Amino acid sequence: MNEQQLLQVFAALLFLSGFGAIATTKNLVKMIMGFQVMIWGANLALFAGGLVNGQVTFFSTSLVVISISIGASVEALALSLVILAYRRYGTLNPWEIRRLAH
Amino acid sequence: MSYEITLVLGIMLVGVTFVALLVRKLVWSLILLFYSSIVFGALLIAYGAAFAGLFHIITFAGAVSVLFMVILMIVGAEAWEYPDKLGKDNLVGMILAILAAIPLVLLVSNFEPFPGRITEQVQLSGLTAQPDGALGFLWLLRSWDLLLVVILVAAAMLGVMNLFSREGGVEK
Repeated sequence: MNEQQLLQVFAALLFLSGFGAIATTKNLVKMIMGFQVMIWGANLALFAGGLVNGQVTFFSTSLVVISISIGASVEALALSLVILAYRRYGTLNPWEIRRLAH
Repeated sequence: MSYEITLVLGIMLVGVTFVALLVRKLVWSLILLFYSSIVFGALLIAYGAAFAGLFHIITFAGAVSVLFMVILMIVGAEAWEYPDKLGKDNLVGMILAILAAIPLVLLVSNFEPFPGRITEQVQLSGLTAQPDGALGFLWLLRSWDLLLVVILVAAAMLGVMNLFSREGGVEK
């Protein structure tokens, strides 16, 4: 296993950790933290994909920077929606929010 | 970049992130994610991508961490600690995570389920030359991209159905 495959394994582990956190937690803030970790996994996969003989390329770096920008923006938007939901329903539990919405 | 440094930084990154997602107190999760974002940036910087690494540190360890901190301060006592036990309610989520793990593991191991068939189809289409370039390695994984996308989309759909169809443990 070379460095590129090693980074891909780490990227897969990060992505799965975030996915598992989103699927199992009952707190909206923790869900967004899981989403953040999924973004990191995607960024690391993009970075590892651009390695040529262990050297980074400008194309993959550009993709990583764009992905960081988009991920942070989406995350900030999700956190603002969490605040709106908390002010409206008074809880961070998504199941309770769903129950209160009906 | 040496293999050992990559291994150490990667294990630090994955381990700290995993602990951050498992710990129940959100303040500790925030602190550990702050630390792991710095490790991620250090990993990028160690490979020579200094701009991407510093941008990652500035964005996630700086702006997003402060944003999380403000959110925790606004939300108050509920966010500091919450009961979240793994049980039957989380079984579907764990199964989905395992289902998503299978194609990723197969992807990085270059496993071919039907040796010969996919290659013949590609040869018939005339696309046999491997492209050069930064992402040329993706061409080697072309037999798996469709399967990966289908499984991930199916897992995401099941996850969304699971999230919005259960009543949860509130009413119990």
